[in-house]
Amino acid sequence: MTLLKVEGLTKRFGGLVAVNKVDFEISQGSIVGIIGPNGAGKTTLFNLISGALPPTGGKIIFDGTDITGWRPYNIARQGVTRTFQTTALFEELPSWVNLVIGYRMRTKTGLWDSILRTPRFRRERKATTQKVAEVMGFTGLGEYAQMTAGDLPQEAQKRLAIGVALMGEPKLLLLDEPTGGVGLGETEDIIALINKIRDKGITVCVIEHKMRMIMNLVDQIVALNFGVKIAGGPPDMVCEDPSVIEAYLGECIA
Amino acid sequence: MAKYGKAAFVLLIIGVAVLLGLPQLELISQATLNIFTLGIIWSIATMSLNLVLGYTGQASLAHGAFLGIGAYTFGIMAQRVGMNFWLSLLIACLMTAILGFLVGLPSLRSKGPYFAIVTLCFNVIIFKVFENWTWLSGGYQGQKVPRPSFLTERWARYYFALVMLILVILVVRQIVKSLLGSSFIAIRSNENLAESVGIKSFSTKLLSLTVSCFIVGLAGSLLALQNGYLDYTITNYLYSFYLLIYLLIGGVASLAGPVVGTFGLYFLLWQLEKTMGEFSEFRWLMFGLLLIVVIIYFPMGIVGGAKRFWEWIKKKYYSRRGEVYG
Amino acid sequence: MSFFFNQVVIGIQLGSQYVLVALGLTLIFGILDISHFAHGHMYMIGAYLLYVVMVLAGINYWLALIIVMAGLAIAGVFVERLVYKPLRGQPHINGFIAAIGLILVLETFVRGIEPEALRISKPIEKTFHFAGITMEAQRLIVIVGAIVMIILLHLFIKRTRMGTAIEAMAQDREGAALVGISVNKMAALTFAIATALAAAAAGLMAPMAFIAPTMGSILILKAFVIVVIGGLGSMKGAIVGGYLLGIMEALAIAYISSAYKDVFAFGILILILAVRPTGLFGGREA
Repeated sequence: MTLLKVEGLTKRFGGLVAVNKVDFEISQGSIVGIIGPNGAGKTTLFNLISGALPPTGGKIIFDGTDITGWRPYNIARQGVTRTFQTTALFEELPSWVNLVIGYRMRTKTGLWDSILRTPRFRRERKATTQKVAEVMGFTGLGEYAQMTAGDLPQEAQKRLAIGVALMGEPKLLLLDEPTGGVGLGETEDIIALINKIRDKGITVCVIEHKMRMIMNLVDQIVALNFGVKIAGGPPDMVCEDPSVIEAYLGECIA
Repeated sequence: MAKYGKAAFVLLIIGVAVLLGLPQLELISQATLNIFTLGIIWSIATMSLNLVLGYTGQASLAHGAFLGIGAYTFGIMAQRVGMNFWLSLLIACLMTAILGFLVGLPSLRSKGPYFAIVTLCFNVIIFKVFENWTWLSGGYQGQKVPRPSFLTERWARYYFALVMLILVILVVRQIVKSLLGSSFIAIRSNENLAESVGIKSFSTKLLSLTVSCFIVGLAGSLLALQNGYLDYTITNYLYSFYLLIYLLIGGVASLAGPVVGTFGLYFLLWQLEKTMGEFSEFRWLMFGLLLIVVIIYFPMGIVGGAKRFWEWIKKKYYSRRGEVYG
Repeated sequence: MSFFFNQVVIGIQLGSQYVLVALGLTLIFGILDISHFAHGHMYMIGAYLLYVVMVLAGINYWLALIIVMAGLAIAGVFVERLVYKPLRGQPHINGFIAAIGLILVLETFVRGIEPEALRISKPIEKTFHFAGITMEAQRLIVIVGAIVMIILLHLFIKRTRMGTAIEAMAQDREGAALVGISVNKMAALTFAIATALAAAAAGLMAPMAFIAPTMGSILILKAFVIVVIGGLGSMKGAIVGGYLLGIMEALAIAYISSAYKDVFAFGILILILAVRPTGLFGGREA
């Protein structure tokens, strides 16, 4: 079943077309990889899907709903959360608080609930605490729980960012270069985490540079170059595609 | 972080308890009691700014005007409309909250210094309106503010203000230590990220500002009550700067910070005025120098600096014992 | 009709001040990202220094102007070094607190020495009449003086290496740092230029008004308004905005009401930012 459908998606910045009439679909339960050289428009594509940027043209349909032009917080509430290429966290807050914030949109505690400590307040606080423990265990961040997010090692920060995105109970998780700047062994840890996420029933879309890594991870690949989709399909097929090889100068390894 | 919060909070309660016992000391003169009362009232105002600036990251420079609006609403309700005390108080807080909401609507889409400048503009405009619209403000002569029978004594007003301060501290604490509070600090920390995890930043900021204004409306009313008298200068934008200074020097995003900062600086100024005699004008020069020095070396304010110092001591203590702290 | 033109001329003179102060502020705010709220008080110090140089040292107006501009340029560098440089990297609002501290120091210092308002005599006591317009010589001096300053600034920015560096930084601070432009030197230079311009504004205006410790207070607020509307770092915006505000204020005083004249600028800012949160020529979000 199609979870995300992108139709003719376009983003223009003045004279520059960063994303040019891109079409693709993501099936529920799959892992899709987005590849392309630097400047191909991958992050811009994510920004369009997550609502960080408004599209100039085209449509985005998520789980049957047209979310084109929606604000980021509404798209997140619909079930799409993401990480960022430059790891975005609430740097001066402890890790566990970062996770709490990730779950905030699923709670309704408001002004009166806080002041009067209503049953809803207590209920949601308990639920949040449980969820935080769950996600911390899931992402292996237990030892860093009390540490200030900005002090975490690079690779733990990446996992924390993924954890924050998971707290929101997404149906679709967008990961922008989750292994960026991370060493070999730790890269495998993150890949394993992504597989675990898929096993939980969450659909994942990954932007990645490390070709070898994602070949075994993903079910489908979308290849971009200069904002245009140049290929799409299963990994081995995309790897043999001449335009992809040309764009990557033969980096592909099936 | 939760640990320090508790320790600081306990210290705060102790400090407040000391304040509670104060008037019993026969040593306190009427003038000193007045200063303490004013210090408490200004602390409430600083606390309100802490909610919107310290915790939500929005630098409002209109709180001077909101203080005045709270004061005038109370004064007008009590004196000219003849409403009873409690109702006047409530209406003053609500009115200030409503005005805060209205100011927030066009301003909160602007971020950082832009928001600060817009709110400052609002303050100047409100100040000018009060200055010139004498029917409303009473101009230079101002107007009288009646006191209810149970607040005619100075020490009664002192305790009343103190009780209000304690209530405000408790309410603010409940808010910031809740899931709503987590929305606030998320916005302060990284607004874009907060939006991408589903937090509606505009309406959350608006809520923070509105609640903050409710509280500063209370402070304004108490101020009017304490002075027994009102004139248009109570909406002066200089008060916005005072509150900002009290807050930042005391320490943002802490519950003790606003109180420490307000009392500390208010008292400092008062003491300087007393001891400097004929040179008392120059107390402002020393104050200015102090501001510059403190903000350079204590960017987190007094309370923030104290917390860091405490952390530094703990590190030394633990590492000496051979344990790893972290 | 001639009344109208007179008001416009007054407005241009008023605007001349705004332009010079706003130019300096837009450079500082736009390039260095500092809310230099004390800029209005540097203007005030300029006026007092002019008094000292002219009245106490007996130097003529024109030479005194130059001395004051140079003196204040140096003062500006001191302010940057002592107050703002240690705050680099800290949250924006902390710089604002430091500026308030500086304001208190400067104003109290001046008030402590001479609390009474001072006057400086005008260098030329003529009044011109032409095309139905009545203009004092000093008014003309202000207008022409400001234009001279703007041209000098323009030449400096476009024709010198340091000026080009400033323009580069105004457009893209990080990029400029990457190509090796020294932040320290640029900060000092920017403050020097900005403060010298403020001194020029004060010096040109001083013979026409009272010299008082609170001279710069409302002026700085309006300068911020102009800078935000015109765009941070945009010199064109500061110039257009400054003159426009001056003219509109003069017309408002004449045709509407004098009491609310200050409210005018602030109301416009609120309207503009409500519609475009990043300012008219914005783009650079804070």
